Amino acid sequence: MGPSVKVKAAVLGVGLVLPEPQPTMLPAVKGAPVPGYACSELPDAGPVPARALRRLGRTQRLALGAAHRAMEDCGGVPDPESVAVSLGTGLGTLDETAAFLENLVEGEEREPKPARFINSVHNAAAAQTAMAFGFRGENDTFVHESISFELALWQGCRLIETGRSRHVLAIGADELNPYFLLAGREYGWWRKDSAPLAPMDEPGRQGTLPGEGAAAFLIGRPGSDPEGKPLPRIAGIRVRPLKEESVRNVNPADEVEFIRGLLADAGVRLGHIDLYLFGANGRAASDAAYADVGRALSEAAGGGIRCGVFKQRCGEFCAAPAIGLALAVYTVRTGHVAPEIQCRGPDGAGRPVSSVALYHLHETGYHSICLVTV
Amino acid sequence: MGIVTAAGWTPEEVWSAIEAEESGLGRLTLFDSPRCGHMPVAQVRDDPAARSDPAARSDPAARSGPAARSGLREGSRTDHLAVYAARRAFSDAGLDSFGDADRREIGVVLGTSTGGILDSEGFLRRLMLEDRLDVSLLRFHLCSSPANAVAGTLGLLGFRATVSNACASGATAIATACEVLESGEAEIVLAGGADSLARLTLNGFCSLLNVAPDGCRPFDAERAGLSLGEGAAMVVLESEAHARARGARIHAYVAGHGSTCDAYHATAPRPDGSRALAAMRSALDDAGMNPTDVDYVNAHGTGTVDNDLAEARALMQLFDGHPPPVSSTKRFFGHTLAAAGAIETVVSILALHRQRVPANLGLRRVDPAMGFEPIGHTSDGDLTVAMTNSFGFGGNNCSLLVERPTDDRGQGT
Repeated sequence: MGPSVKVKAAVLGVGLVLPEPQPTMLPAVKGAPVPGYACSELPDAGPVPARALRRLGRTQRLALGAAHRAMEDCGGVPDPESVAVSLGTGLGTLDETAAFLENLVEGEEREPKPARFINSVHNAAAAQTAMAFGFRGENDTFVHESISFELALWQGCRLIETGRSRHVLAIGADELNPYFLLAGREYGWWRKDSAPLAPMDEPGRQGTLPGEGAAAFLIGRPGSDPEGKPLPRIAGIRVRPLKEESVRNVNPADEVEFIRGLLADAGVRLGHIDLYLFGANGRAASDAAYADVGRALSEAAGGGIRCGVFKQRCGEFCAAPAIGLALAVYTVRTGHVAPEIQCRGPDGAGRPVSSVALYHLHETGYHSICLVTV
Repeated sequence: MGIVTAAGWTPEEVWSAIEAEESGLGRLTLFDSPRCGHMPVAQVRDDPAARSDPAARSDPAARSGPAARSGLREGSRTDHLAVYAARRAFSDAGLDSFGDADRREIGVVLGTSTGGILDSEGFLRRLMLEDRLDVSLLRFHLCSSPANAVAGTLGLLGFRATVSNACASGATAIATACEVLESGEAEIVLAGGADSLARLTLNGFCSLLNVAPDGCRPFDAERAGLSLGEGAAMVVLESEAHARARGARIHAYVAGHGSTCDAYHATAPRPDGSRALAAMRSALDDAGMNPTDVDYVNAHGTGTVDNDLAEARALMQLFDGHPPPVSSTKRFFGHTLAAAGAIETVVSILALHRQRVPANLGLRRVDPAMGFEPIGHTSDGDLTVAMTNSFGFGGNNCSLLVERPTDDRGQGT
């Protein structure tokens, strides 16, 4: 990458909580079970004692686990009190909300459970993270379905750019829940068998698989690495509603312009990107749209581009773009494509991978692009 | 500006209630609950003007609640409240004449704490009590539903986000929208908050023993908790250059915003109020102002023992023991959760325009621990800058500063 790349924030530490690599059958609240990727064991959360952890909701625990790993990865920050938290979650701690409401229905509102209510609040995970690590900076939770994490990352970068915060922990976290499985089954989101996903490689397959997980990123001002090593950087992030009603109708040329615009703001051209990482999830219409955009990108870049997918490793969930970003950061940090990413296209002739463009075409009606460089 | 609360459907109606010192608290009729009648709530009712206006009485839509008045074909109650307020704000800002292309650039940032949970409760009751699976009731469950309904209704395709910082959500949405404008992501953003009453929040706050049986009395010595409410408020935020270029009327400036986290407890505020104080100071720094520049504080003032004391301590520190006029307007509207920060921003702007300080309704005897005397009755003031505070579960603190245009650049309402 050239020196003209505009840097929004340096990534000082990454923490990732991935579900099991093979999908298993999970119980929905009613009817047949649903295959999906789930975390069979929830992660440690560093400073939070096990007893306290047991009282928290699943999304809180996933977020805390990712936050703990990110803080370990960066070795701590000099002034934790100033750290801000910016978290994206599509559904929050749905398990806790459901449990509180189930109790209301069963008990005819006689004995509502306060702990469940406290955990049901959408910002509970961000608040618990702040309490666990003593982060007293701004604390925001974005809850806008599948773009929740991108919004949280945008906010985090904005806090760094404007100097409102020296460090921000940006987190994406979402849990699997029997009601989520049920709703997806009724709406026809899921496939019926538990064969692992192979996004963009299963023509004719219908449906994706649900998943869960979390990723956290401690970001700060560029150049803040004490050892002088080059740090991965978030060089740009943009998220917008789609003009079209459905991803089926997107114009690939418009998508190329959307991507080109973000890259141009960062001083990069389409052909300079070492890896385009797509959020394809195995659903036929969505995969077809990604494939169309990939072809248009290749054409616009003046040659074949290298593409990768990652949801075969975690399934589909609202905060899944955070998983993609973690894999992108690992990739530019090591120079090698992370093993969780499946790639196609020219392999760069052994050159280190120093730039990844994470692109999502959300079926909820949005698109997003995030540029990671080193 | 657009606003809908238990105290009125327009800024004028809301201000009339403030002048008359009439609380919007009353009996819960929105849904059945064993808690009905045990504590008052601030439920949005049929248009009060429609009840007294014979012409309006003949119009079924004018007599109806949010669902009929929003113009939205279907949505949760929160969606309807949000869309109603957004439409009013959009018109008030003179944006109705905008064509499709211009509207596509306009953003929406909305705060909500529970979104369409009232419908989701219906889904669960049907499933558990009748063994009927009706996933259509989950269509509006996601918190993004109100923002999407606003954007869809008005044809807006710019930056869109939903913030859920508990009871600080509405204020945080306005602060975030300011950042959207400053970053150049948009020139115009509709921002605010919306929440409806629901069994989840009603029972939740009751389980925490945080609801006052006779209505909230912020800063009172015998305060016994909050009163729940519902509503929405939206403001059109615009870069000043853009607003001037199109000749828009400017109601007020958002002069500064500041946010912090207590990192102390899941529900209780940090007792010394130090992080709330930091949020207020951050807002002042952002605005380049001193505490002495603040002429009025619209306090978060929920009426809970802990919140009011922590906020009072922060205010006494910030203003060196001599705060400007302070009032909490929660007894007018109830605690509308994510809508509160947006509603109170609109109320603060109205106060600046009318040069009147809203009453701290419900006050009988000030808790001496507060150290200051909130404004007991709506009264005259000399107001240029108002601070409005919003604090929430999880220790979220957000302070906004709004400033009245003091030259011929803007015009009041």
